[in-house]
Amino acid sequence: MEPFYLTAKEFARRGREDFPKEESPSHALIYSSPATLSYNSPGANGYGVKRAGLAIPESVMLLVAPGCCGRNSTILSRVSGYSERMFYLLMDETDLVTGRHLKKIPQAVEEILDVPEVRPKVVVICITCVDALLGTDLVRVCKKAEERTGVHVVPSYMYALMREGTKPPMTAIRQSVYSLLRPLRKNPHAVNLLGQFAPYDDDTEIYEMFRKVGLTKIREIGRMKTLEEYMEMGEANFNLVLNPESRYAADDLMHRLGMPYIEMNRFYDIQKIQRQYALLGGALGVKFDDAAYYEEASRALEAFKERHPKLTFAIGQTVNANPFELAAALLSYGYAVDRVFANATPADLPFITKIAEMSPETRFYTSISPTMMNYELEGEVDITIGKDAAWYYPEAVSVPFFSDVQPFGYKGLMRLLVETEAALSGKTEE
Amino acid sequence: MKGLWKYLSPFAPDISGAVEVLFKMNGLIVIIDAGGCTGNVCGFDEPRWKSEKSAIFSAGLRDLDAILGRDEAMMKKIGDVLGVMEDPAFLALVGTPVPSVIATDYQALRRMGERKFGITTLTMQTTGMELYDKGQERAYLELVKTYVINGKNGDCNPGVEGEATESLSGSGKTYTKDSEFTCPETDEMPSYMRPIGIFGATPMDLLDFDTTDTIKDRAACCGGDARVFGESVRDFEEAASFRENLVISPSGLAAASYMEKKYGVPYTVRYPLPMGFELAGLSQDEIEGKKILIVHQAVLAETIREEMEQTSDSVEVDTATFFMPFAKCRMIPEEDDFIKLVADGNYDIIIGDPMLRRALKGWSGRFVELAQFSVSGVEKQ
Repeated sequence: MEPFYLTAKEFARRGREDFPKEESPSHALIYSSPATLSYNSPGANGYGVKRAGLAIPESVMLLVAPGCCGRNSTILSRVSGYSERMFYLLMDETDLVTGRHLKKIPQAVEEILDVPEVRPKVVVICITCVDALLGTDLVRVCKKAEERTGVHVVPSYMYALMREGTKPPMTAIRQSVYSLLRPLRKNPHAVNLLGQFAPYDDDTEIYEMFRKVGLTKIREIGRMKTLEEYMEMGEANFNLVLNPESRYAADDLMHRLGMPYIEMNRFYDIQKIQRQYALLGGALGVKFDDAAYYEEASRALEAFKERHPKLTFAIGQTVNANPFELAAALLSYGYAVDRVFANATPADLPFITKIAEMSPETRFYTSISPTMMNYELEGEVDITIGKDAAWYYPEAVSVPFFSDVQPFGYKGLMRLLVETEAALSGKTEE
Repeated sequence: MKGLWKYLSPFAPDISGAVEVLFKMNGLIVIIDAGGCTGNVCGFDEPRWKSEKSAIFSAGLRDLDAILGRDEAMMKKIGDVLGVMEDPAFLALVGTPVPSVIATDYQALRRMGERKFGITTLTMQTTGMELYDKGQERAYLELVKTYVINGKNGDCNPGVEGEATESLSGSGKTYTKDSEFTCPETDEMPSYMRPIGIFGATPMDLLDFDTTDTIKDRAACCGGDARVFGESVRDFEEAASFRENLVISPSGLAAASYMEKKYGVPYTVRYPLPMGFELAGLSQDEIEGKKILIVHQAVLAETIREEMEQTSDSVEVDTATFFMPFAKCRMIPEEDDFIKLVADGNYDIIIGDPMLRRALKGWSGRFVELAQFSVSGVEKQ
């Protein structure tokens, strides 16, 4: 059987009303090929729930779960250097029946506080699917542990069972990592960037453009070195949401701290980047002077196009981009996009429609579809973007474009061009 | 505190162990989870996943599937996948913590699978709370009970059971319940030409430079036929006619014992060490007069212990394992027990996985690395 795919034309025609059920992970068994591993198990690469929970400065994590839930931490924590901040309270079957593991948590918190050389100020407790089914009230347990130890104890939830619910794990953990913020006197010069757990690139234009309009205190959790610094995020005049998965956290902060928020998307289409800054300026009542950045990115783009006038791309979803937006942007720059390997949601339809207009035969494969077990390489592309896309085209030039530190805006586009250029040069040199 | 791990991180769970045994056997393997357990198996515990194809799927359970026990829905998804596979050998349903909580009826799942799809259906009641060797043990037992019973030699049922003393067969003796018993030969092949079966040869159990091929070469020596259980269904079908079984990890003991009781196939317990690695990379001089602790899977640890004790009269060797114990190899149930064992043991040398160093703060002896995939998951080169 041929792997399931839709052409852009067909996908756009079906629209929201007939959105393909194959795009939903719960529709079928999930094929967790090496290419899709990060999608199916977010902790497999980059930030999963456990590593994300440690974004709170001066924190450690206690995972309360069956051993299997912590197994990937064995490898990842070593690779990413957070193994000394992870602790485990492993459950057995008696715990499942009696719930006795919950009673052990306060003492476990007390014991782990003595292990690191510097006493942690925050302990994040993470529970998993079994406690979701047991209906565990972790907030109450955390309060008890807090009373016993005097440190902040933060509940967090790695409920894979709820990944298609209103609060999937990567959304829930974003709420958890901001949950310690308390209301402070508002500072009109302060803004929080809510998006990822690592910072955005240092040279991202947002920082300079914001400073020029008086937003001088720009804070991100990934740059906060101490708990004290982190707590200062409570003075922000507003939050800027740079990733839709942070929307729930932003809602929570608005509700608890009266902190409004504005959303921005990450685009690689230079016109959209420009328009979005104009809209943001309008919403804030300021004018962002982005002309120099626009010019610089335009020049970089034109130079790249001059050197590489004709390229065919395949794009995956393990990438610092929305793969559909990226595909649309590349098509608008005159390149060909042959394949996109990603799970779409209805929110991607505007991009898919645009792709259909420019390249109706571009194929969208649903990487986790069981039919992908039969995927065999056909056709050729010059370059793949995304760690997963490289798996499908091992012979093509590969640009993983997947890092903890995040690209954004004009500088994000320029970084994509630089990394693509470097990969192409490497290929030439070989 | 029981269950609290402050220095070490979780070892490979039973789910991974079961899948490792099934990996190469051309079955449809469905892990009954939401996705994360499958991610752990494929991403971290199964080093072959990146280079070899196997039909491993996550059931993609969601909260309501679990709460409402929607087995029919899962079976429908399975039917869809069976429809795109070419002649799978079996359907294997592998448990995780979620089915443990909701008390999934595995017998019912097996019946549903067999009735609905007409395919041999294996169920592994793994929970994610036990360790990889328990998962392997379940898988081996399920496979021998399912397939050998239909083997061409049938059930020769010796009906004799003697007293067993756990030990390695270092002098060439076999470890059997009743070594006198020989299953009647039912085909024309003489006993000495029959294959040797090997239990417990998975990436979790092998030395990091070993492969199933190197193990087969050493086990068969002199060009005989050696089969690693887990490479094809056919090996299980023919297992009753095998000359003997070699158990190289405790996870294979229950299946080997079953094969002996039921079909009279004797078994030996020993890790066939490569030439020159008998002392885990140490020289005779280095072990003379030393007190050594070896921490690994029990059969490998015991094999090295025996080699060391045969090499030197002055060495003192203890063996311990976080997994199933065997012979003199004691079990370490908790991290605290390991710390205490080292604190009380006065060891000069500890041989074990590099991750164990984290729990050795304050110990000043010599640490010799002997990677154990089920502990640190160090990827094989």
